[in-house]
Amino acid sequence: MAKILVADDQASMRLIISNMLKEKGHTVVEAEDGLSAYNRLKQDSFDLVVADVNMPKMNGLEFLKKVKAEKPSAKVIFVTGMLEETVKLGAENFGLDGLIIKPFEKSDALETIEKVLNR
Amino acid sequence: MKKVILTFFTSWSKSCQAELDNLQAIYGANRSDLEILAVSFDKKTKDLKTFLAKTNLPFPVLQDKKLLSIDTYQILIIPTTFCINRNGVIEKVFVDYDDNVKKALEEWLGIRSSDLPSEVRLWRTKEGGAKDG
Repeated sequence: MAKILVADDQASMRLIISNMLKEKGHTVVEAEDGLSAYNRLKQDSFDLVVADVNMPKMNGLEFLKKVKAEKPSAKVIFVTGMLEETVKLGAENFGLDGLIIKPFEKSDALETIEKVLNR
Repeated sequence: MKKVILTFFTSWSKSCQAELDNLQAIYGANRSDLEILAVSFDKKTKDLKTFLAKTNLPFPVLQDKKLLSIDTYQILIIPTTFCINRNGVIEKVFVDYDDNVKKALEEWLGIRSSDLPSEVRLWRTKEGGAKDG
């Protein structure tokens, strides 16, 4: 099972995603903003990061750029409510590994996560 | 005052379809004591209209194509279902839908599956494949 970092500024959103992952036997660590998530990633190794695109202190795109620059093998999935072109273009350019669009079926989200973990 | 079930769904989700199927049966058997409101996150009104024409849901359905209620109600997974008591207080929140959620919903309402009508399932058979009603 994997060790996954879940980053979102909303506690309820972190809880929903964390519970979903823990039910599958994964270990979950939470971060409440982009900067905290980035600092955790520097201190510890994770199999995957699941992050909200809109986070305070360091938004998702900025987080992705920094993470991929420093840890190219890190896997990052964004959770977003809108498939905005800027998000999609930015994400493709900086090596985003997966995208989960809100709202989602639990099974679809888990499938995306498993596919990325198994790459 | 009636109990209220508020559910958020999309027409393309199989989990949502299963839950709406069950809610239709529950509503049919408990109409005097229960209100159900369904909010769709379908971005295309045409898709929602097609779905409603096929399912003929007996309770009000609203459409939130801008997904404004996602933040307000903190919704990630569909369906998300709120069970509200007669005083307007949210007593239960269910995320996703499976047999456990089905049982918990029925327990909250104080009903048994065997008391629910099976005829309401007929709309699902039109999609393909016979299904016991």
